Amino acid sequence: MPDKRQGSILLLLEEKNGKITKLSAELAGGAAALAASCGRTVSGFLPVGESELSWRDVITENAAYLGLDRLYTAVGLDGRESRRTARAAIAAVKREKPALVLAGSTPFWTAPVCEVAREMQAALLCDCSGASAYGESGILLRRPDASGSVLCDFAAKDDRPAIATVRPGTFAAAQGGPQREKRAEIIFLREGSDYQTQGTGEHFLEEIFSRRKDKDISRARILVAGGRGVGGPKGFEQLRRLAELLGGEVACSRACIEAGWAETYMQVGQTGKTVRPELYIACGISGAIQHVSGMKDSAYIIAINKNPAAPIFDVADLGIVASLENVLPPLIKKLEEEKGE
Amino acid sequence: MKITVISRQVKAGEELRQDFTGIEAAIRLKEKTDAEVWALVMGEETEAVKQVRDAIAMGADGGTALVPFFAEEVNGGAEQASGVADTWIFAEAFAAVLKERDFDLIISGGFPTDGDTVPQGLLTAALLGIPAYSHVDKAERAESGKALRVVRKLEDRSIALESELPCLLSALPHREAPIYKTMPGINRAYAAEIETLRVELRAEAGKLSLLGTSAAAVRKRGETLSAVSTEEAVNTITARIAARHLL
Repeated sequence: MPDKRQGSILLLLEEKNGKITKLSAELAGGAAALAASCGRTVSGFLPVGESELSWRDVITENAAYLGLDRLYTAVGLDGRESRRTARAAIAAVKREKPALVLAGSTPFWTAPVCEVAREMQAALLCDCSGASAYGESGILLRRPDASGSVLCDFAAKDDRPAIATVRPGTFAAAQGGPQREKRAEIIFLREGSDYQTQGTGEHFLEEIFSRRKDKDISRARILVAGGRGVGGPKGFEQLRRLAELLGGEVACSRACIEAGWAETYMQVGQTGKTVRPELYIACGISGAIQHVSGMKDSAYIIAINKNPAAPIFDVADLGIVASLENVLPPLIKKLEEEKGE
Repeated sequence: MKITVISRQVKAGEELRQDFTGIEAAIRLKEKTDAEVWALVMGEETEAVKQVRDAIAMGADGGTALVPFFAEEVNGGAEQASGVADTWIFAEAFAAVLKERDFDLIISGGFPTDGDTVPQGLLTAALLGIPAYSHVDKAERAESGKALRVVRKLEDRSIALESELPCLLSALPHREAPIYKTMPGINRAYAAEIETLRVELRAEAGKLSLLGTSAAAVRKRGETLSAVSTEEAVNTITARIAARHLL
């Protein structure tokens, strides 16, 4: 049996307005399953911002919800200064001495995890697609290769710790709820005594809020996705209307980002987001492996493409060989009629 | 200001993935301030030299092709063969090259290639002991002169910060405003003698072992309707959505 404390799984968490993010809940869900299969415990580090909220209550609630044994926290770290976040995370990692650190592939944690890896001399694997028990007490990390067609299984060399990042949708979120009776130990890390913030070389200047709100496509139940076959920004207007009628969001393949037809946050695939909605409608998407790797776990896939040889049909539950111009307008019209619009 | 851009070419099956995110960010900064841009491209020699020329054609002042080689096999050559490698190995190799160079700023990118190339830049900075910032949207010389004003794009907001130099910026792509090659740039690129540097990758710098590989699960192909009327296609789609209680 590994020493439970020495070999824990430490989650690097994020909150927004006092609520744990969905991706953080997914990390906890994945870690709980892994911990159960290899006899380890799960701890967390949650940096929090400055706010009127009573952080102790929020933190205690979150820790119980996520099923954590210990939760480290530090106040005044709201992502404005990522190097300070890294320093605090290093302090948490040094105390906890975990076997595995799990973080989301987000702008908040991308740079800090690299500083943590350097400090711990830890193995670093980004965008993992899974983690499971291996051998007596080992942890196996799985990730597809760059082509997405080969899965590679890794373990950290020489019993060193590992840091893995995962993209949204990799794990099912922790369910939490009132059945959690365990009370987590809460450890406040203090700036000055537990970690130093001098000499980071980074000075916060200002926050800039854009009027445009990027949507989180990984949360959508229904996605209407466009590819090169959409033909241009005008085609996306149709997809938006269809998504609106279905109560979903619009996504896209990399080709559309490169063509400047769509926003970066909409991208699904190897270099975009991993999504698993209940319904994925792929419009004019050929189905390159890089795209498919980001959507193949959708519950139901409908593909519309005029090329009968498009590989997207190989992963679709329902494929329609037709041009978008022939299918989308009547489909939108029918849905509008059904909705009485 | 001396800017060094680092990028690595990645093979995804037969496809060669190149990353111009860093070079584009450097050129954008160069347009606003007095800077010299040097491109370090790691990859197979012919392709890496070609990408250095592309960088010069876009406005870089010069560049070096870094041709990596393993002094010994890793996992019996399996890791090289599968095209999978360890972020640490590449970060260490880049750090070793950069230690020999004079720079004020390093820019990396990586979003168009694979999940490894972004942390590879950031880990390189950690190994060099300099500050590093991810998701950088904009950068300009700060009013104070010696520092850099950096704008990072987070999910719900942007953060402006001032960083001391030297530092590393991991840049976000600006797909809406690509940097094009120019005619004088292309002429310079083809007149330039591109230096090639062989860079040893140390297997022992790696911190992961490859346990094995397997084929990714393939989703089963469902029904494909071709040569159906528009009406039938639309009815089938709505019926299937309704059957899943999503209408």
